[in-house]
Amino acid sequence: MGKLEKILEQNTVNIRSLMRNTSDLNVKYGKAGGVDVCALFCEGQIDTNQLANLIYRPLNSIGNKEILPPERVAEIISGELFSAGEQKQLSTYDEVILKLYSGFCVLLIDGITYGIAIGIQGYKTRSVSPPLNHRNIRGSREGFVEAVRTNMSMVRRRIKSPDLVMSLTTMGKLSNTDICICYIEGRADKRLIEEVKGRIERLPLSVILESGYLQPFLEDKNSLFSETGVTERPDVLASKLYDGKIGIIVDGTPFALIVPKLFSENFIAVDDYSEKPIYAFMMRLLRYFAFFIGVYLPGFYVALANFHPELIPDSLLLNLASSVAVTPYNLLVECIIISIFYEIMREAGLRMPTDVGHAVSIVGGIVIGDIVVSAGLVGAPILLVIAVSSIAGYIVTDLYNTIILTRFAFILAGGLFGLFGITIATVILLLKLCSMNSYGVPVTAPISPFSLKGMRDTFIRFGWKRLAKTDMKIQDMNGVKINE
Amino acid sequence: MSVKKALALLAAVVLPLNLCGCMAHTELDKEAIIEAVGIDYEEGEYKVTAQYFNTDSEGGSTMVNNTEPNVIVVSGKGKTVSDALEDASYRSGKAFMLGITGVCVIGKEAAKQDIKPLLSFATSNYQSNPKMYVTVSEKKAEEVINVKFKEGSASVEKLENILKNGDKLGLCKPLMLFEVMKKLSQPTKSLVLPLFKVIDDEGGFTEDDKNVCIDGGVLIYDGRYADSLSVKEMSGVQFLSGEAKTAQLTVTDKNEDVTVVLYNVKADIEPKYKKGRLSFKIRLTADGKYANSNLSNPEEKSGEVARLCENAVTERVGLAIEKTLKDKGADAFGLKHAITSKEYYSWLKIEENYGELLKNGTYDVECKVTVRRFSAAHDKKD
Amino acid sequence: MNKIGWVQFSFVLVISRIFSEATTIPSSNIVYGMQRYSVILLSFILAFLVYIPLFLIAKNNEGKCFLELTAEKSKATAIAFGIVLVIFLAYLMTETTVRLDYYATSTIFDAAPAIILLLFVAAACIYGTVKGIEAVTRTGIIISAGFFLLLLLVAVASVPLIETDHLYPAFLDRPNEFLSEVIAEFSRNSEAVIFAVLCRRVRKDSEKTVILSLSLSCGILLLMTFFYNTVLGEYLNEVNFPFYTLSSVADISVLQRLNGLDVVVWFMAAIMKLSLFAIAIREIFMIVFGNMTLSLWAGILSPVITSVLTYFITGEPKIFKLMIGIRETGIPTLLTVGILPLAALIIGKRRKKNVG
Repeated sequence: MGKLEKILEQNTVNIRSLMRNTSDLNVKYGKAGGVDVCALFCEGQIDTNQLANLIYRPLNSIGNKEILPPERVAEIISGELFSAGEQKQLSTYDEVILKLYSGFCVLLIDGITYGIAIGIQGYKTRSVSPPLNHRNIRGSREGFVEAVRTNMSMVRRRIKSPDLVMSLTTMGKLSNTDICICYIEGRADKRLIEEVKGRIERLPLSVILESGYLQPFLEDKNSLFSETGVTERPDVLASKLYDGKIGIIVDGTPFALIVPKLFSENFIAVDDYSEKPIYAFMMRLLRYFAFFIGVYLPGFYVALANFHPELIPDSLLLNLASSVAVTPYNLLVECIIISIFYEIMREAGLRMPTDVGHAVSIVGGIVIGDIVVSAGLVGAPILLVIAVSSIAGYIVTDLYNTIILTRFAFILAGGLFGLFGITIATVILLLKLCSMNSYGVPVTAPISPFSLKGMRDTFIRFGWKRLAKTDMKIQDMNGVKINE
Repeated sequence: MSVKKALALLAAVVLPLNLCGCMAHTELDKEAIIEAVGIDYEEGEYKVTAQYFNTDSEGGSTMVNNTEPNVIVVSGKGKTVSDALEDASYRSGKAFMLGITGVCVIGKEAAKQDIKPLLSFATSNYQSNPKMYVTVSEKKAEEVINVKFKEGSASVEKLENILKNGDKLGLCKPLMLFEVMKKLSQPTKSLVLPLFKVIDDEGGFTEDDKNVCIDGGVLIYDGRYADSLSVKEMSGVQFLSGEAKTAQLTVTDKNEDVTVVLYNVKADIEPKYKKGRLSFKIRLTADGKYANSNLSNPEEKSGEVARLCENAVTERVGLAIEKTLKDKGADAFGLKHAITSKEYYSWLKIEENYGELLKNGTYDVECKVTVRRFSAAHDKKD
Repeated sequence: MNKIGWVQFSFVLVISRIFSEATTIPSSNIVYGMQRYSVILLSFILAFLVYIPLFLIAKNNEGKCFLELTAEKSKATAIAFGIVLVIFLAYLMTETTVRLDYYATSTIFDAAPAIILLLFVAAACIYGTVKGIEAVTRTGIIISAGFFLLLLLVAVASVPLIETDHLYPAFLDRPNEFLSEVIAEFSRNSEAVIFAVLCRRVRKDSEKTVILSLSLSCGILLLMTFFYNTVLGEYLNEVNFPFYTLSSVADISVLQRLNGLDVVVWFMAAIMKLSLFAIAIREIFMIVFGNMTLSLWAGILSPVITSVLTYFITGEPKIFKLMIGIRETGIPTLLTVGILPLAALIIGKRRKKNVG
């Protein structure tokens, strides 16, 4: 696309035509110093008060009594009138259009081959509210919003240091989405920064509507386990930046990305750092336990009942045998049916209008919880097992999808091959997990490869007095250097 | 995800389903979960009586009714115990599962056979419970197995509790399958098993007016039934082997009966091999407390009561020694380990002739009881 | 080249070593008696002496393995060494697979048809081989954590069953069998051949792997022997898998017995061990021929070939006993982890002199 021309009329016609005569483009003509001036802006993207106060009023103040050369008018506008606002000179149509869509007002002056963009963004955004996921008891209640600049400011408020670098770039040929890469200079590894920047610059996407669009390009392979962390919380992002990680905030979504990510981070909650270390330790162990229950319990149960009943405690086995005797299906089939029922109900609960939510939960609760058992279609123990494992899966929210998928895999493995199947599936899962390196850092660090130093905040969370003494960055994890 | 990957994933999920049935699996409702098994020997063949859990028992669709026996008894015969089990399984129409079997009762006649191969039906089966108790029945094992208790989720729980209670009272030491096998691997293949006796039921515990109690024990020597032991002899065995952690004794002090509970019972055995003879210095120590007494001043009489207890213990141990060591040369107490740990090189000399040496050995028993605690009632009086 | 830490490597070698002990088969039963302690101690001292050349090579050659050193000096000798090593590794893989198959089907996987068992084990090994040494050793660490947990649970649950009078003060109670037992015990350290080949993949201080893995294995074996002797007593002579029997009688209330966990742990350990063998084969091809694709295929095919061999050998106990008999002479282990590295050291020094 070409450069702006000297003739104002020609420029506005070209811009209209390039913007396909879109209705939300407003073009207002006027005169300043006897020169034709035109203000362009997109309706809904700007703040009308600012438009009146910051653009129209100063422009009128120039007056038309004295005829000035266009260069002088441009000089007055950019140098004297709007020196306080965010301002940029634009020389091409592309730049003009991008700024218009970003909530800028662009002033074009007859006889001048550049435009002046003045930031008066004023589109409606959601106000800062508590995050829906990753809730906490103590600490900040702020969650990211959709506006990238608001999110950037929230991070900046937490790290008021010149070392916090926020690099804004625009990606997506069509969507022109603002993406902010943030890191702390001196803590994040330089190679890591270059790698992340490089990957983002090479994004082939035309439209980026959510940070999830970027995720596959920041990870090496499609895997059950994510190598990228996601957070809705500015305080979490700030703490991860301090660990030497890189944050990526995408305009239009309250979910920021963090790279690299370790598996053990899934089990860390923001409250752990506010509570007593011993309580945090217990809670973390509980989360690990919940993860194992969520993944293994149904598969393990089916495997033991179908292949190794001698391993089940006496009384439980007798109850189990009684329940199996009255149900028509094999335990494996029962387990799969109940798991699928549960997932259907969960999905319905998530997507349906809130007004019908109660009806669905009552029907689900009564039908699955009571009638199915009394009708002898499934046994009560299997229902309990699925319910417990499903609830346990919610405790580690970041791994929920993984838990569901692996749970089904383990049900199949355990139901078809008993403990043998579960063993093989576990080995394969472990090999997969252990083979993953997120930007050179083993995903399973600091558990394997083991790092005693890294353990200070893995299962156990040391007290702040000790944490403050042992400063550790992600690249220090087990002495592994990024991209070694 | 590429189409190829999606297809591969789908295949990975679907293809294993074709392997259904490749691994033989258990269907619990088609399995007879054996709770107790009895082994008898009659007319040249073994008869196995098995008590298995009735999955159709009343108590709701998935709950076990604890007030019912919930068991079915089935029996089968065969040349070996395994044959007999298969026969019983065939008759019941269900596959036998020995994974949680709690008690194995051996009939007196069957115990006269070598019990090691007899128990191999369980030891050679990885699924069977190595912690099942092994006992001997006074007559036929079948009689014990046929008693159906109403307490607990399974009838066998009562039998297990009878054994555990006997252990608590110092009447017997219930041995688990692997402990039996361990003792049978020792030189004289000797051990003492509790003896079950079927009696009339007066408490309404069972369905058919029969109950089971412990009536002493049985000495197994060289892997077979050798003799039966009275309650006193059995108690002596417990003291001697140091297996009685607690025991209850009633002694008479000037026409007054006093019951004392002995605890912290310990046996220290000092073996010596000299001039071709084995001698053992056995020192027993125990603490005691009154369980029941009408003594006017129990504290003052505690010394006297302790002497009476010592005499009673020494008498019981003497009886046990007479019956097992002197009479049969059966080392049912693990004396071998006392010798090897203290006089290993002597053991190498006596290993071959161990049984005979035990018969001719001298056993010097000393007992020291200290009555330390008095009941709360007496404390109040004071 | 992906690198691993020496502690990581040591732990994987330890569980590989203990696997051989936990799955002993009747022809090489563990016998009750205090002699076992002296046998273990002496065999590990012997092992350490035999590993001295390996230790020196690892210490003085910046993490290069002896085969790599040989290849630098003489390609033909390296090929000859490589052949010997590959044959021994394939032999060990077969033995491990047969052992695993025998152990699994004699215990709780008795219902598993050999073909299914071998198929899945081979598949898991191939996956491990493809994922590489990093993934395998990291997984090995997690599995070794499982093993230590099992050991702890079994030990705690066995405490009430311990009878200390089963211990007696004589450490040479079967003098005639002492030497053969020491050699057999030494020969079970065959996984040292993995170290001999893969020490080049250790990030630094690879020689420490020898010390840590040997001392840790020795300590664990002594501890296990203590439990075997005091809990099982003379019954130990009659059981096939002592650790399995111990875990069968151990009760932790959540599980009726721990034998299920025992089999799971050893199954995983075996897969790790087999994967390491396959990776070692892959590495040998890489060092000798320098061809990535060829070495990858060698690594992938080795579990397949050994599984096929195992399928036929499991039905022929005589062949398997013969195999174990050969290994228990100690000669193959001595040759591959003692004599060949020593030869490599000598060749290296001679060439240096010639050049000088």
